[in-house]
Amino acid sequence: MENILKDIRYAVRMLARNPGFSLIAVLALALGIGANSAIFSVVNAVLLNPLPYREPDRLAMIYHKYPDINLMDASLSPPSYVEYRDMTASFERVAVGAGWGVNLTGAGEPERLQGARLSASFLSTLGVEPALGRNFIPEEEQPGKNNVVILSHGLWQRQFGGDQGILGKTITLDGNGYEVVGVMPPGFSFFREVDIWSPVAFTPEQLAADNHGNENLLGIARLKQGVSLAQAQSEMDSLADQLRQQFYRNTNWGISLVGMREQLVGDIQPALLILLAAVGCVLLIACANVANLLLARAASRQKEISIRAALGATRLRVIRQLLTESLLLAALGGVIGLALAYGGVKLLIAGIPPDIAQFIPGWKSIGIDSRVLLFTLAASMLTGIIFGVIPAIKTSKADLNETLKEGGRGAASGSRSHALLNLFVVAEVAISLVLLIGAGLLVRSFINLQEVKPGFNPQGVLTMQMSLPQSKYRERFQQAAFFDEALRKISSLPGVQSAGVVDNVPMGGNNSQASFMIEGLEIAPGQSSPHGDRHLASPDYFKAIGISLIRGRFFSHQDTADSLPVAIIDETLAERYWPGEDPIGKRMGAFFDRVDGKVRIREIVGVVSHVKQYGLDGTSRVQYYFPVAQRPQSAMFLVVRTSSEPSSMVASVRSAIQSIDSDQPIFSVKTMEAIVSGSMAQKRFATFLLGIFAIVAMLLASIGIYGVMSYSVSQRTHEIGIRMALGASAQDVLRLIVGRGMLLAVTGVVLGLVAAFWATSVMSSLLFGVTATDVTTFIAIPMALAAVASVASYLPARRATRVDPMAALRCE
Amino acid sequence: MSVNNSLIRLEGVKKIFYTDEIETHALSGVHVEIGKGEFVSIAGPSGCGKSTLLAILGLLDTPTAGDYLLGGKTVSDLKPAERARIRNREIGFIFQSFNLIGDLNVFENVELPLTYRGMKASERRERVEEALEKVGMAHRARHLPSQLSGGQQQRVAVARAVAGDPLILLADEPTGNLDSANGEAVIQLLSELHTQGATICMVTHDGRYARFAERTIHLFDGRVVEEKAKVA
Repeated sequence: MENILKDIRYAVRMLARNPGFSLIAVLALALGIGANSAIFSVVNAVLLNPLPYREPDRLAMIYHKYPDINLMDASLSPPSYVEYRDMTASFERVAVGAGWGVNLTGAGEPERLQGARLSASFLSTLGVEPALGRNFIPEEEQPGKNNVVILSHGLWQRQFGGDQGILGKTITLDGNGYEVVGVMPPGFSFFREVDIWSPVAFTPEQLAADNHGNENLLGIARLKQGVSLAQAQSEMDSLADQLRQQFYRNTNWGISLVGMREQLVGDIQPALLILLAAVGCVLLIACANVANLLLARAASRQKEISIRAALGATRLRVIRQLLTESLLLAALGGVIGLALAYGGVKLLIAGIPPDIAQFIPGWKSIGIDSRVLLFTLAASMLTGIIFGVIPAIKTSKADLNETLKEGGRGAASGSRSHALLNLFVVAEVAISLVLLIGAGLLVRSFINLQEVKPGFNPQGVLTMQMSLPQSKYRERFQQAAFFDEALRKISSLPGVQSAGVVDNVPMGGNNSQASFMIEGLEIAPGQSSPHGDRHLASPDYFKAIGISLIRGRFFSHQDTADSLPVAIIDETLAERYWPGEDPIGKRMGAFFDRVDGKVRIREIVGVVSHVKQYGLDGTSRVQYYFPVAQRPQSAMFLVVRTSSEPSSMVASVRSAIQSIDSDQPIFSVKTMEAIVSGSMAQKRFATFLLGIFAIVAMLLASIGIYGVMSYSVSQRTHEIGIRMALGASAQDVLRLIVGRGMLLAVTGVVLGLVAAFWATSVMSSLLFGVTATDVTTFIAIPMALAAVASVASYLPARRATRVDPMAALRCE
Repeated sequence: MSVNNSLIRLEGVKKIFYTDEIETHALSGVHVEIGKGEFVSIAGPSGCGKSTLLAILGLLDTPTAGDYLLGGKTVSDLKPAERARIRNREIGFIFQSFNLIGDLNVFENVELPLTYRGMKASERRERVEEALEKVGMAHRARHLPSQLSGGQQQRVAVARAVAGDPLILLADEPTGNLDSANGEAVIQLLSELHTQGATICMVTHDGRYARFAERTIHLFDGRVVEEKAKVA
């Protein structure tokens, strides 16, 4: 122990004596370790921490799938919920839930709440209990008995000041009274932030066998102890075979189970792992740089090491001393790195908009916890060993006799040391090339993404949501009248060019799909009906959002509840079902749109541009629109195109709404540009981070080349002097040094290209409009890196050309 | 020449250096014997192999051929760790350029070989103080080498060499970097140590100091050409 303390004391002294070296090494390591700890803290919170539900590995999502229309995650219908709950043996519990938006009034400022209707067993299926009060009970799943709610901790605090006596009190939602029976613990969420939960209650009609097509429920299940997901899937496949015969005769419909972790983190996992690998590479490059610094410094320490050896220090003992110094450097790097990670984590959290982050499980718990501290400690120690061990072994292998002689040169200037220095530089270049190519591909993807035409014009558009309470606007004509009046008032506001309503705005995260039929189109046995994005829109919605008319007309104010039912389709639907034909005047209907139980047939009056509903890189489905006047609903998005800055219109739009109904809140106020930008946030952030890491890697690699070339020049001063004395020109010397630097760089580039071909294949899922082996990227990036390497070699080479031959020769 | 009570014995030791395709014979079949308590000097012109011989004696280098017996045991083909152990316990080095570690103070420099030996701190302190006392440097124990004169640095190096109570002190031109007064003082110090029983083998090409040795071995072109004992 005493010897270890001595080693540490000596190491501290050595580092203090070489502040420049120590500072550079510690900063390089701090950068590498800090970046790793920051990214690891995200990986830890999102991927490693257990989901906040009891035994989460036993939880699964239940989806319906329609493979022939590539719809693999359709929701469940009320009767299928009952079937899975009652007819399966693999599950301990099956539960369903659905979105629920309500206006809270009577508790201060009216507030629009995001809520969910849950089957009584939903929370117990997840394995969570209210912190205050009780869970829902099965009796509350019946219509008329379900006016009870559980509040989120946030809502309880925000609207009710954390009132401990809240249980049993009645609150007003959409004008109806609901008894508060529970309050959830802080931090509880499932999929997204929700303020309030209430039991779902199905009417006999909803549970009837002919309602199998009404799929709007999110299904979850808890597997019985000892039952695997595969076993449960097998049972569901058998059940699907039975049900298909009875209720889905014309389709290849099926049921799929998805593990809860896969469901929640499956999308973000590849990006996080790639980022973790990228920062790992940055740390490796930092290690190589510090190792090179240590190797170069070894030359000046040969004598000291030889003295120690001459006095009886074994090689192991010398290595221990040198490793103590490396570990001390790494520990210092780790401490500063941790501080950098703390700041980095804050930046990471700030980098993703909250309305996207809420869908990333664990996002809120990202921070420096004990596991991150342990990771940082391990990373620091491992780093210290990685960059320290080779220089230590090399340095400890001194030629004692030669080194201890007066004027002995020491072994570090030998060819083996150079070989090691060169090896590290080649590795640095190779690793940084892999990162640069990865970042290059992501940047190209991002550029491609930005060039994608969304099918509408988001500039100058303001959007907001409104949901009319059933208590006040129970009848559809009331709902239609409210929106008509609102649009009339908003359209007349100064600065408003056009205004419309739609059920879901593009890229807003809410989508509705539905199967439809086309008059005259026969569906073969075993095939599903056509399926697409369905929209309800007002006449001016298309102008307001900037969707172009390709053929026919937009909806007009003459398209009323009493007029001919009409529809507008997008260009992709037209192309798929009427290729080469004019679809205007053709007829279609949607299964959700029925009158007296029959599908309402509509005449197609217009064809519009296709809209990227699910994001610029999202899956595309065919789209169709019905006039909202012919099928009104209570919750709509208001879309306003303005001639001025859209955000400046919020107040006047709000007062226009409140002049019709002062209790009517508006919410989710956003510009369309913000929505489009938000849809790319995750990709933009991943691209930005990988870009930063790649640039840091390239800088470190360049510093590495510069360092090795500088060291080489200092070691070869005598040789250069001789060459110049013998007649070598400055150009000859320049060529000699830059040539050597470029040889290293090119070797690194070749190895890096091989590694990049393999490495980029794992990031295919993150790319858009560019292949993982994109030729342009694979040519341009190596050339850029070679150019940087040539500059890094040129600077020391230029110094070499200024060597005074006489001075250099006198040195000997 | 046969020596009573032999401590070191070299038999037919050769050392050949290979540089590219050129062989340089630094030592060509050297026979040397040094007895316990002897003060031997090795003399000869520059390049005759003196320092190579001393490096082999100090286990800093290995002979290309021949045997080396230290205290009756063959040490010419030991593993590096065992050689390090012998250097630490049986041999004390004094170099021409002192070779003190600049970042350690005088006390720590002298203590260093004892630390490698795994000696207890209290015993180390005692030995270091004794060795520094012996060379008259106890009052500079906390100074760094850079704060000392050349003569003082060499006295510290001598203290470091004797602190471990080695079988033999090997001194390579110990006065080479000193002025005559300091050189004289160091030789006097070695002489006193010899009087107290130390075995010393010193390389020097300075006749003034060679006379302090009991016996002088003359090397020329890697061979022993003459051995001359001091006339009492």
